[in-house]
Amino acid sequence: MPHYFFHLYNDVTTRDEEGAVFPDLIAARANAIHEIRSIATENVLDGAINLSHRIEIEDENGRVLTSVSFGDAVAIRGQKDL
Amino acid sequence: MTAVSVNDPGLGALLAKLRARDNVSAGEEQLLRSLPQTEHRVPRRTTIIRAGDVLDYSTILLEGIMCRYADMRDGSRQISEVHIPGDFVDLHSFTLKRLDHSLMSITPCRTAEVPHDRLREVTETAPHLTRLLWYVTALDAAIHREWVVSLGRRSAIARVAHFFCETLLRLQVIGQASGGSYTLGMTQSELAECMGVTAVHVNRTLKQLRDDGLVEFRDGIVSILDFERLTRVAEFDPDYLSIEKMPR
Repeated sequence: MPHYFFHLYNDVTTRDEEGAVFPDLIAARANAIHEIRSIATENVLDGAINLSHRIEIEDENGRVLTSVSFGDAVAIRGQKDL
Repeated sequence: MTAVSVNDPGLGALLAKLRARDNVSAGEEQLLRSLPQTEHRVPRRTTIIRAGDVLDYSTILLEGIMCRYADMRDGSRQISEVHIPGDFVDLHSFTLKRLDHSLMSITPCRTAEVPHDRLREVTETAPHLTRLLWYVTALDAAIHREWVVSLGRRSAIARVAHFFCETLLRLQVIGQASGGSYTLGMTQSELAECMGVTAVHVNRTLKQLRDDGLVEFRDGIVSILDFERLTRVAEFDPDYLSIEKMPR
């Protein structure tokens, strides 16, 4: 199975040196969404979430395959001033 | 599968763990060293006991790092305690007979089996040693309670900080931490499974700890750079490890 690396561009930018294996990029992208939801939870507890923050998924050759933004991973509904 | 040497350093670690809490007489030491019957070599990342298995022996971890865990239906895993050499990893199976969780190796390990019949003899002939073994299960329970506090109340950074502080002290007791540094042998994914967060989340937390000059985690090796500040981030109070010699 291919090895993917999940680099986080958040208030704390973090390179993933270890990575993880997934059957394909679809599964890797699903993992990135799961990761973002976990991290965003902590961001919300700290009082702010930035929807432009993202995870870039790289292959073993350091090629960026796709990018998933925090906005892609969570639906924001309703309007705060209503 | 071989016989366990009475001089095995893993049994020395168990004795060091007990002697940090109470005196152990020469007779008790001899009895304890005679308990294990068979030694096993366990490759890394291997489950040795599954939840629900009926057991007629308990396992002492002689060398390496192991953990207790529960599997979830979605394939995720929660690790609930990490074991170091000298830990009786499933002493509670003596009374439970079936574990409610599984046990696996993190690093390559050596383990020793102690038949429950031998433990029954200890309870019938050596009351003080029995109380010391009772103590180690109480210590496991104390470690579990702190783990619950971490998962329920501590932030990701405080959880990791607390775990690193706890493991340092436990390894110091058996003489397997050099300065503030020790080998955990875990990947960031396994650390995430301990902390109840995802792998990238734990990686982000490790980055924060490194940037703050508190601790480095690289290739499974933990290097604590500033223990005092790390304990403050963790709200770590070592009292629950009861590293204090007293009659028990």
